Amino acid sequence: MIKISLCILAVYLIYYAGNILYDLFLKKERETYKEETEEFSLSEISEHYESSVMNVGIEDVENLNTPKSFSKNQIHFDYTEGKDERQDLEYLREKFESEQDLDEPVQNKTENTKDFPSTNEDNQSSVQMESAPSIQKSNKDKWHQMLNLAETSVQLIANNDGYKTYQSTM
Amino acid sequence: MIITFATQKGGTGKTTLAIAFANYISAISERKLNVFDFDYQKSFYYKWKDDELSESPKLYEVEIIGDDDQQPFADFETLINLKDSDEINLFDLAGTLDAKYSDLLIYSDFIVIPFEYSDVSVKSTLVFINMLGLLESEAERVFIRSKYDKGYKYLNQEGMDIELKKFGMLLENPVFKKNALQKIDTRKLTYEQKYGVRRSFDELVEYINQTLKITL
Repeated sequence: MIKISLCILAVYLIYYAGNILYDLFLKKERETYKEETEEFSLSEISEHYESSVMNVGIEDVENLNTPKSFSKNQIHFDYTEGKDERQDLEYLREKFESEQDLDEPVQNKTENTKDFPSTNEDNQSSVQMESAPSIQKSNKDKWHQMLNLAETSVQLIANNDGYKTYQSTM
Repeated sequence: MIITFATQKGGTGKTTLAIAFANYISAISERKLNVFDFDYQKSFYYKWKDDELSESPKLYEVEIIGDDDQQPFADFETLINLKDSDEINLFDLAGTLDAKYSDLLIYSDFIVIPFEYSDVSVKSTLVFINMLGLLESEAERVFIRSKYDKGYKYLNQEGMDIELKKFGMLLENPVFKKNALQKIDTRKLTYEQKYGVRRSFDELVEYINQTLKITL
């Protein structure tokens, strides 16, 4: 009986000694491992870049600074210094002439209708002749549009071993 | 009247059928036949020119149109006169759709559309049908199976026939694939050639007669 109880006691002692050893060494190792992971965590890096990371919302994109406009003014070279007044006159004359050119056909037309009503028809026909190529072009464009529509309005409804059946969706 | 042979894709035997039809119609009809080659390749016209060496008599005149860049029938009256005429005016078009064909496609009495059951051919036939619809063409559409192999089962035939019948007359008799048709000329139809196209063309003539209430 004493032997058995001594044996049980010994087993208990060994068990507790083992537990103590485990707590002292193995547990500690785990703790140090944890500390190590903390050392290499990303928190430091994130802190380092904290200032440069920010949320970009749609408003920020909308408020992006872009050039508001481009310079439409022609650059004048100042190599004609001292002739400013003369240049201005030239410029004004050109402007006046170009404006007159724009006005002239209308005036001509009205004059024609007053003085020679018959030539007005000629004028109109010449206008028509001029616009004929543009009509032809628009007709061609329309034709291509129709052709595109005709081509896209065909639908595959069955494929029987490579023999395809189509239908028109128009 | 105006009868036009047209498709959206080449290679379906359009010109061959047009020549065969011209020869056939000139044999069975008393009416004067005028042929207009509207194809930029002018195959019909060149064939007709080549046949001038032949001993057989000329059956009809062939004119080429649309050779210059000008829109043909710009005066429009010419086209309407051709349409109202008692003579048979047969047009052979190119295998591509072009804006210059628009007036003719609109005012033809009949548009004969040869087709095959191949993938490309059936699709382009439907594109052509769509185009005629968009142009609001007044013409009767007549579909004719070309280069048909009677010993072959076309798996899409049933479906395509149903679809095509919605848009016009599908001739029951196909033009069979016949080597004799490859040697066709504009002066005569040989027995074999005639045998190949007779049933289809009889059906076509019958349909024209019924529709216009005339006798060709």
